[in-house]
Parts: sequence; C-alpha cells; structure tokens
Amino acid sequence: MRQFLKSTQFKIFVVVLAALFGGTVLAAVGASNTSPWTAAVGTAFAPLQKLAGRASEKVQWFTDGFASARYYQIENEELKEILAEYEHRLADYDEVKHKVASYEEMLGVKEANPDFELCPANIIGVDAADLFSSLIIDRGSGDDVQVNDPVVCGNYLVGVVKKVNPSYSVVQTLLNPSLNVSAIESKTRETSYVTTTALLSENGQCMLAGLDRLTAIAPGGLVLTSGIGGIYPKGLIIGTVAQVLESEHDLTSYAVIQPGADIAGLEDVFVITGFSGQGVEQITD
Amino acid sequence: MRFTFEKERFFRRLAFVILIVVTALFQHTRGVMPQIGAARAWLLVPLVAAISLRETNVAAMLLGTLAGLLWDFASPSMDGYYAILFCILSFVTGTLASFFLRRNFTACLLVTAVWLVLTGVTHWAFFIALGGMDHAVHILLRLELASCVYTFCFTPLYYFIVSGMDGLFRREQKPI
Repeated sequence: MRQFLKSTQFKIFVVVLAALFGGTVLAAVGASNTSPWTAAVGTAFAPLQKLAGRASEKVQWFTDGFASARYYQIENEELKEILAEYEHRLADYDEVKHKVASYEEMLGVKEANPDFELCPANIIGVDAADLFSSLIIDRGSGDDVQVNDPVVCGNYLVGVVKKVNPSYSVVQTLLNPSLNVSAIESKTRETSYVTTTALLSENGQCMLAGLDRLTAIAPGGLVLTSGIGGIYPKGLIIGTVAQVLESEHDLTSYAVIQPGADIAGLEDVFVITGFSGQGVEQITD
Repeated sequence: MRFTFEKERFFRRLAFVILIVVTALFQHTRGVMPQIGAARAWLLVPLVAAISLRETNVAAMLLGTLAGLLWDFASPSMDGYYAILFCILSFVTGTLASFFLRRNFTACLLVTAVWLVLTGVTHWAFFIALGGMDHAVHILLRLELASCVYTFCFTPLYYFIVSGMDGLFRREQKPI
C-alpha cells in the first residue's frame, strides 16, 4: 500500500485531482460560475452539442410521419374533444378577446419595454442529471450574457442564467426549487415569491408561496414578476394560477401556478442582457 | 494491416474519447434518450465504468475526467463536481482492475451498479439534502434511484461496445 502511495500513478492522480479542485474553487469565486477546465472542454464541445440539437429536431420531425394508425385514431379523438372545447370557448370569444387585449396592454411586449436588451438564443441541450429541467443555450459571455440574466420566451419568464461560458450558458428554469422570483398577482396586487417543490416540478408547475390564509387570489389569476430584487424586470408573465391551497407546514396558503412558457417544449428563448433597474434592489412601501 | 503496441494503444484511447463525446451528446440532447417517468439515462456512467475496467488507472482517470468535464458542461450544479467524482471513481476502478478485479461482464455489472448508486446518492446528498430542498426522500427514490435503475439497463450495451473496441485495438502484446 505504501509503495502504491509513492508510485508515479498515484502522484499523477493527486495532481489531476488538485487541478480539478482548484478549478472548482475558481468557479465558485468567479463571476461566471465556470471552471477553466469546463470552459476549455465546453468551448470545444458546444458547437457539437448545437449540431446534435439541430439534428435531433430534424429527426423528431421525420419520425413523426411514421406514427401508427392507432396513434392517429387516438389523436383524432383527442382533437374532437379539443374542438368541442373550442366551440364552447368561442361563445366567450368577445370577452376573452377583451381580456387578451387588456393583458397585452398591461403587460406589453418589447415595444412597451424599450429598455430591454434582448439576445436571441437556441436551446442546444439539457442536463440528464438535473431533475429540474435546466437548459443549455448557445449564447455565452461573448454575447454579453452574464450570470443572473433573465431568460424569457415572448413575455413569459423561463428562468435565469446560472453558468456562463464564452460560447454557451446554462439556464436554471422556473421548475428548479432553488429558484425564487419575487412576484405579484395582477388582479389582487398581492406580492410574494414564486418557487417550486419537487412534486410540483414533476408536473411542470411552480407556486406563489407565502400567501395569507385569507388570500383573495383565485384560479385564473395572472402572476407577474414584481421587479423587486433587480434580477427580473417588472411585468414578465410567470404563469396563471391553477389552484389555491393551504400549506401543510405553516399558516400560509400558496397558489399553484402553471408556467406560461412550455419549458419542456422550448426551442428558442431570449436572454435579457440589460434592462432599466437591473441589479438595483427596489424597495416597496 | 497490423499496428505496433503503441499505435494500437493510441487508437484505442482515441476511440474511447470519441465514444465518450458521442455518448455525452446523446445524454445532453433533448429527445434522443426517452425519459421513463422522471427517470433519465445517465449514459456516461456505464460507459466510463466499462472503460475504466479496460484501461490502466491513469488512462482511466484521464478518460473519466474528460467524461466528467463534459457532464459539468451541461450541469447547473457546482462546476467540476462530476469531473472530480469521475476522476476518483475511474482511478479507483482502474487500480482495482489492475490488481483484484476480473475484466468480465459480471465485474462490469457490479462496478456500474456501484458507480450509479454513488453518482445518484452523492448528487442527492450534496445538492438536494444538504441544500435543504423539500421532499428530499421523494427525490431520492423517484428521481435519483429511478434514474440509476434505468441507466443500469444500458450496462450490457456499453460493456459489449467497449470490449469490442478493446479487442479491435489490442492485438499486439506489450513489448517487454
């Protein structure tokens, strides 16, 4: 054993391990959360991952044409149900149209937010071990993307940049329990924070936590970013309230939220690399 | 055409590097590997475990570190975590294979099972349990261990691919 510990092989092992630990320490103290070793490997690997992502999309489109007759039968039945539902909804079309118009007016898009600096990005991969749907995008520090930049799809919040490399970044989505977003419910103007749990995340949902037991928030309400904290701009749509439940742990309630962005099906996103008030902690009364 | 021992060794390791890169692409590309429930395939684990059984401890460690870095590339967790984990596991497996373990299918199954459990449990311990996340036990059982079981099904495939490559590039004996 002592002979093995003195061997060249063991010394090489210790040197490599020390170098990896050094890289991890550098990643922890650096602004990009990336070690030089991962950056080097990632820079070479990111273009391959981008190609693989595109190839996967093409193959998916091609294989969809080979679905079985049984599949089409099921799909047909599902479509009939959807059609019936839409016919029902058509009756309320005018009202919905009015609502949509008011939402658009209230929330706006980029025209209403001229201060937004947007960087378009493609999703090129995912982390198989991350249980909460983190995404790899093909934009990095070379495109002015930084850690904590918000990521959106249209007006919908997707998540935040967690790790940045020169040519790619890793995004933590709303379905990650460690992500907290200060939020406001549009109708009642109640403010709190959006997070999730493992159970909700499995269903693709998050929650507006820490609400009063007598909250006036009701299903159908729209949850937006409040802008508090300076990480997310004010007014991005997080999702709609699906139901309001009482917490099992304390005397609060929480609203289960269906995110507006279809995180599992996203292909393209925008990174907000700059906005008015970014990094400035806002104080409310 | 027959290569010398050194050339065979070089081509064998190059083939392993390519295999690791391709597997990392499979693992990180959405829609390639089906997700069963919440279980995902951690394809790099059975691959690097199989390679570590076939290589010297230093070569295994370097190949394992490469695989770990490719995993860190996609991971939002602490950077370098998988590189360090795979570096240690590969070196230990390579060393055990040199002295104690037989390089057969049973050993590969055993080693892969241990690797998967260690990968899942350490990831859970560092990032879920110590992170104070709710429903930690649920995550361990339904997500981490389910992924371990699912990934384990790929062990025979990678064992035969790696032994096939090893046989292809290991015809010459090491010169004395």
